Amino acid sequence: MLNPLDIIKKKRAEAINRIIGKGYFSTIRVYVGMASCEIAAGSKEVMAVFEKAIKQGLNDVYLSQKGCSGRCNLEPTVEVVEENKIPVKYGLVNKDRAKTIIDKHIKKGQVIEEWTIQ
Amino acid sequence: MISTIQNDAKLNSLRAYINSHKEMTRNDSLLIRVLQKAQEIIGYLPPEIMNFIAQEMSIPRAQVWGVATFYHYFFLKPVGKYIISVCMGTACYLKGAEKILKAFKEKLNINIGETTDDKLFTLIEARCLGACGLAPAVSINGTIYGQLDEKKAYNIIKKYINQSK
Amino acid sequence: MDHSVTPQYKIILCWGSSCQKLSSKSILDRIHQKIDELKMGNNVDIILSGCLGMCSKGPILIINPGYYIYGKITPEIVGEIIEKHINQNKATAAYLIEEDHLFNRFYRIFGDVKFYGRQMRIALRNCGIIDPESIDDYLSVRGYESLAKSLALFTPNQVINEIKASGLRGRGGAGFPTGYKWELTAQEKSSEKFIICNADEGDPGAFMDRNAIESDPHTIIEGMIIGAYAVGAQNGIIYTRAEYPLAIDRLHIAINQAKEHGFLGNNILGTNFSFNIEIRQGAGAFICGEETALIHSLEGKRGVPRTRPPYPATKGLFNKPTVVNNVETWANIPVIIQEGAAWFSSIGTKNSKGTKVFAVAGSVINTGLVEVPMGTTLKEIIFDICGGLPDNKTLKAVQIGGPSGGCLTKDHLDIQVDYESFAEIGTIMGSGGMIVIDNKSCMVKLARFFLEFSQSQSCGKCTPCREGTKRMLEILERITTGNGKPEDIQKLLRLGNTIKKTALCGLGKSAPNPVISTITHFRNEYEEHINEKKCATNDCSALIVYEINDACTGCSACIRICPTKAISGIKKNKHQINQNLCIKCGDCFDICAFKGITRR
Repeated sequence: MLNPLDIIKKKRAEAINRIIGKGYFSTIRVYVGMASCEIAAGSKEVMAVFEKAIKQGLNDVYLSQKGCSGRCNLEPTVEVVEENKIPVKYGLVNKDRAKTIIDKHIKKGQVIEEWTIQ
Repeated sequence: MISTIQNDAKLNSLRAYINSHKEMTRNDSLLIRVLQKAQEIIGYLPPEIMNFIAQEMSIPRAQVWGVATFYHYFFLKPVGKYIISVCMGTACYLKGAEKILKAFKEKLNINIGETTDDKLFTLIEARCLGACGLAPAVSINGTIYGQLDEKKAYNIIKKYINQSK
Repeated sequence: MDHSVTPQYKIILCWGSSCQKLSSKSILDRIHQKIDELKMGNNVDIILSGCLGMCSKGPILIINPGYYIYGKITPEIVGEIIEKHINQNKATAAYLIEEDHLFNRFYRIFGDVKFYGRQMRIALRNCGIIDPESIDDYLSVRGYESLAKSLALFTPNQVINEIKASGLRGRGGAGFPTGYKWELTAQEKSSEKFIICNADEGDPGAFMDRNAIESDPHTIIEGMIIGAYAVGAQNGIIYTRAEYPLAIDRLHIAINQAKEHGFLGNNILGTNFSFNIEIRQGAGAFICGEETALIHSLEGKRGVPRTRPPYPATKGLFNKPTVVNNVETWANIPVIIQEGAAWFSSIGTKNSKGTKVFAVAGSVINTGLVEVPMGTTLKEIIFDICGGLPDNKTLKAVQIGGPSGGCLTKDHLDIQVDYESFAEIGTIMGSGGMIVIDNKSCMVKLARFFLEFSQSQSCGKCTPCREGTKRMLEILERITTGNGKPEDIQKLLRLGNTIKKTALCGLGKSAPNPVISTITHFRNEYEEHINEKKCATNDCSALIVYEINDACTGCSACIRICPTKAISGIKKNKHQINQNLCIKCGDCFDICAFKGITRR
């Protein structure tokens, strides 16, 4: 009989493996805010832009929804996270900005400074 | 006789919902949930339905009516297809919720708690939608619209009118 | 700092009070000096963070990218650490510390932004960094480990002692010590006990509970399961607002996932402890946030409160012992179990431990959720974290605690937020709504707004609240419409104090707070409304007078738009407004293209 601590250790390891299996170690991770405040500000459309890009062949990107980080007036928010780089936080992202983030930041590595949350 | 219910199927599905909890202990504690279900099925709570629920759940009518009239969520009159709840929380109030409410009232030509003649819109006040960052905000059948002004309010109404055509 | 490109490095120095005591000020000076020496000023950002919660290893320095944490640094060594890290790309291993805490993981992504950097995230630790619909995400950030730890290493009594020792107090408003509440329920001999999560977040202006549920539902569920184990409860209920559909969806998803993984249901994690949670939706009654009213609502009755004692802890749902805590309180539990009571009680002030979440809105640049250690000043929250007021507006008041709280002035900005200091100045912590008010808002009208709210939500059971708030509202209505009488202020105070003393429940007892506190701090505005029939902010539309001035060209635009035909005049001559007919709608003022109408 396993004790609760062993069970949870195993479950955590399994969970992490499943996350890795979904491509967590991709070069770039993209998180889109999806709480009701973010959705009201338009984050579903933003998510759709990223989903479509991946479907159309955008490679090596781990896309995930996330909750709300509490920065109401800059929603919808999107984070672009890469190993060994400072995570980039974008605010007021709409459909067009999402497309530009894909073209410039994700494909060419150019951070769009004026849209970042400082 | 339940005159306002055109459809027996609706009544049957409500009865089925009540019966599905018959075996539960203290099932009278589910009254609010049953009333919510009834409103979901029928759209509002006509007196006949409240009496029906009282009978099916073996709860005094007075208690069913007492509960239905106590909670703001329950409508005792028919409502429109779209329920516009204008947030009257503090953040919205400070950012001009009164003006938004006035705009809806004028455009729809109804007061708070009333329904338009075409049965399309019902206008109500909400305590707080929890979308303070987007103030002033309204919620229409659960979808939140934020950072409104009078013009945006008019456009939203237009959108719903077009949608229902 | 103005950069054309993102600086390559971001250095975070802990600016919490404990690190500050340990010479972090001279460390900062040394960092600046070193950066200048290395001529890296344009390439390095230095950020001062709020308490990072690693006080025992302080002072703490973090270098990004990579999130390298250095502990126990000194002014002597910091120069070397920076030079090696930044110039030679080598970390100084002797000072690197491995930290894997539940709290402040958030920092790894958000710590370099000022708005987040000065916060300390315990209750909202996972909000915005994990997928709320994925239990794998929650497990990956050590989710349900606290539950496993409780079940494996603690007896129920030890869990209670841990919570007691942590000093955690209820975050719903009243601030009752959570551990003692649990102990009362645990001591009751009953075959049936309940755990309730009060998610009937009703204060207009507060949305932290919605956010916590939508962004990290498993945390609340884990907290409740630990609570159930501690007091011996078999069933739990989350009572949430019907207005929060997404929160309800995510709770359903989370509960089902927890069941699949064996965190809920029978024989949790292989032990003989069993517990289930169901969700109940409220039906739109603010009063149901009061615990006895909430319990009546769960019993299928009208949501009216009853006198206490007996407290729900001994006689609650169906007369069985019941623990009622709010969302934020439950969200703190897993962290306390994992990090320990000693750690938790090191944060905050003497009698208020841990952090508090505030929903900051109103006239402020950065609106949003702010979680800070108790003892943080209002000034830090409003100006350092939220960036102050927009467009150079002046701060007039801060409203705290929604309709149950009071207004503070700019003289109170140095007050440290905790339960006691708020009580001293006539407001309450409440659920944490914080509204920043600028000079454009009328305090009398604001008081009326809150009282109107409380009055409309009064359940009608006790006379002081039902009748008293109605009379107070009538007085406020006449003051804001220009019919106030000189004795009205005294009447409001007398009525208000009587209601505070005699009302049955918290809603009634606190309903007069907004009125009493605005009279205390802004009495001049009340007097102006009453004596001069004037509202300096032009917020009270009934007190506004519209007059036509000499700029009028006689274009007749105002005549056409006036809904009551109050304006008359011949074309190309100055028009007049009949004050008896004017309803102060302001349409003429808005349409006039020549500034021909004066508003005063």
